[in-house]
Amino acid sequence: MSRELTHDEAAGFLGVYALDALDGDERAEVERHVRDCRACQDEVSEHREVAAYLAPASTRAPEGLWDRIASSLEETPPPLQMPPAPVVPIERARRRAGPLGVAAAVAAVAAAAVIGVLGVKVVDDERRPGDLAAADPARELDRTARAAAADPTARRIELVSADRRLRADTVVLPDGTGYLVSSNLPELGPDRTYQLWALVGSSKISVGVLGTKPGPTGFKAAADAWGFAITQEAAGGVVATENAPVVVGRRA
Amino acid sequence: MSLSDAGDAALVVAIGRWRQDALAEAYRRHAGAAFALARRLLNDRELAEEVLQEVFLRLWNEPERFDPERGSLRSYLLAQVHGRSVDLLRSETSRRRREEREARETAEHGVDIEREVIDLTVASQVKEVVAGLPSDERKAIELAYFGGHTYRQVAVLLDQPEGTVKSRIRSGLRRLRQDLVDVGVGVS
Repeated sequence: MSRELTHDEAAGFLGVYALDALDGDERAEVERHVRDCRACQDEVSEHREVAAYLAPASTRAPEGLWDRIASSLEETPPPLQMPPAPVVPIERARRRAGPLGVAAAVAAVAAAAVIGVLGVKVVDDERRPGDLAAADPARELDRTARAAAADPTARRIELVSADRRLRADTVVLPDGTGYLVSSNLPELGPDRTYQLWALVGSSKISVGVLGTKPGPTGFKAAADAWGFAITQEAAGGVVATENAPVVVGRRA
Repeated sequence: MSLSDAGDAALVVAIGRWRQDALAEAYRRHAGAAFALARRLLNDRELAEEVLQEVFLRLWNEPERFDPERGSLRSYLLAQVHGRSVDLLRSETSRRRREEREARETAEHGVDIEREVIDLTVASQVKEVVAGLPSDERKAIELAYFGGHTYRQVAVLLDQPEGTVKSRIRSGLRRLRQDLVDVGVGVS
């Protein structure tokens, strides 16, 4: 029977987990904990790095194997995945949420003007023609966000909660294109949403509405933003917020 | 910068942009070690080739799974190869093939990571560090890593409590890491 492990319980399994010496429910339990625990992820990576030194001597890779791999790259495009929750431009979200006061509407327009682009999906234009991913923007966005996260020129900004249990990982490329790469924020009910804010001076400027369960998302970061925060708001998002951030992080 | 000079992160970014030559470069660098590990675990050339193909296709389809902040591309690929090989080892089909093979190979007993470890210039330091491990820790790691056994199976094989084996594997890996750092082998 699968159950929730405490951190200390899970930590005791990290050596055997890293060497694939666990199976069944135990493996699933540890995997679940590691997925959401940065400290455990770090330790598993360290163990695997050590294990790589124990690996046997390199041999010649089999003749013809690369040709088989290369030919199957053409034959098997990546499988489709469920699309993540899209970023909803705040103007559109506001209309869906019902009428706001005139002052709020003016503020929303002003905020949009400051930010320039609200919640746009950013896609990589270097795509392989004919690939299914190109026909699936959600999957492509996910892939692009992950690629950005691996880009050595990108700046990573980890947003964390006060107790460090919740986190969201963002990266910002030198051109200001930003991505929410992943998060472990719990899913909200249908009447709530997460909203991403750029921290500029002493203000929070809305970057976009992330939905009830944030997935990979692209955004444009204001050049003078010194950090980002995610708040919980009423469904549809708000123009300005006084809510305390669920997670927050600053540029290094 | 050409791909042959590119670091792991840049190489995987290029793979993320569907550059086949970047995947070819990753293959050129790491396929030999990956194949050696798969064959060591599976003792079956055909299955090892299948594992290798699967792992490199996965790198192509899901490059984002590699996080350069969490280690080298080599260790990432070897961990993938190890995990997939162990899954196969524990599958029914493979178990049957393994039993048939083991029946033929009566001369071979156990494994010895002191003799298994050869990593070009760092080979001697790594061997020395492995040899310096307490034997209980070394045996447990050997059986788990090269034998593909679960820690419960290792406990039975070594006639030790499961909790002890679990702790020894973790402490052994930590000790290895520290000792490798101490002798100047760059564990990231």
